[in-house]
Amino acid sequence: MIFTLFLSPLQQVWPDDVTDPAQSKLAYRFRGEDKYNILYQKIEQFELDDGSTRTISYANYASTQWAFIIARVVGEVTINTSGFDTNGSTPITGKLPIYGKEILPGIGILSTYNVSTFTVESHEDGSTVELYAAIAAADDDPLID
Amino acid sequence: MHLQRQISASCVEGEKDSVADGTKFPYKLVDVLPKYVLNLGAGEYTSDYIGLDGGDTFSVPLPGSYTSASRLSCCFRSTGICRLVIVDSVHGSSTVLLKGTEGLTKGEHRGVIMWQGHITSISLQVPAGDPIQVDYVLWQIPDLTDPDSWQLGDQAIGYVT
Repeated sequence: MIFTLFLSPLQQVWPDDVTDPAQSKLAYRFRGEDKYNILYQKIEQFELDDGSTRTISYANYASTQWAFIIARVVGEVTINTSGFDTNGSTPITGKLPIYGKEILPGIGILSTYNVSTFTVESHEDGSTVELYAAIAAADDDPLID
Repeated sequence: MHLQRQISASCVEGEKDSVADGTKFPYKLVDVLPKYVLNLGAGEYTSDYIGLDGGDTFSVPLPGSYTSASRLSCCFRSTGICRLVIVDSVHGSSTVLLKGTEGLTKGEHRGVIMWQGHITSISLQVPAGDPIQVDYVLWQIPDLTDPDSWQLGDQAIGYVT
């Protein structure tokens, strides 16, 4: 089964008080209407205390594949990655912090490849994470057919 | 300045342009309600839409009033592959590859990366090859527990008196 993911990141800035977002004069609008072919996905919800970690595992995953993660976080976590640079041989590591409160949860999005391991690490007691982990594919990927 | 963030995502069963069943959503994400608008001070956000050639390096300008004692919300979209070198005053240096595709063969699938950290610097590095387009927005996250950080009132979309 193939899936299609629709992602719409919207952030808009106004110079004046906003009485009606549809009518107010915008200073800047960051808006995407993005669509992805999804080969595999899973959804996890979990809670981590400060210092705790949880590994994100993919089924039948090759590290050269296109990994896609969306995380909604109340608290603070980092998504830690280890893998290789664009040349496929130079090791690289990443640590992306995601922070938010109930009124404005942290949103983490990661569209990447060449990653061997993904780990969620908590930096605050009781951090709750709603995690979507997927493998995406370009239109010409033979795995779609 | 005032800022509204609304991130939505949904996943449906189906292939390419022929979504088989738009009624089944294995995954949906809906961000905060539209009525929430953050108050930002002057110089607390920066944004741009830029083109970069293969081999280019671009140092992303951070908001003028921002210091890494605060947190910065960072969001980038790219039409291709781009290396982000991020320095965070708490978590150190990171290197992350951002992947997107464009064109008729691979399809238009922009890569997105978003996070919130105590950022000191962000550098974009494009591997040798095709040019890419990148749009980004960075803004300082105010104290979310302080009522003064929010513009509250009748700004909700669809609000009817």
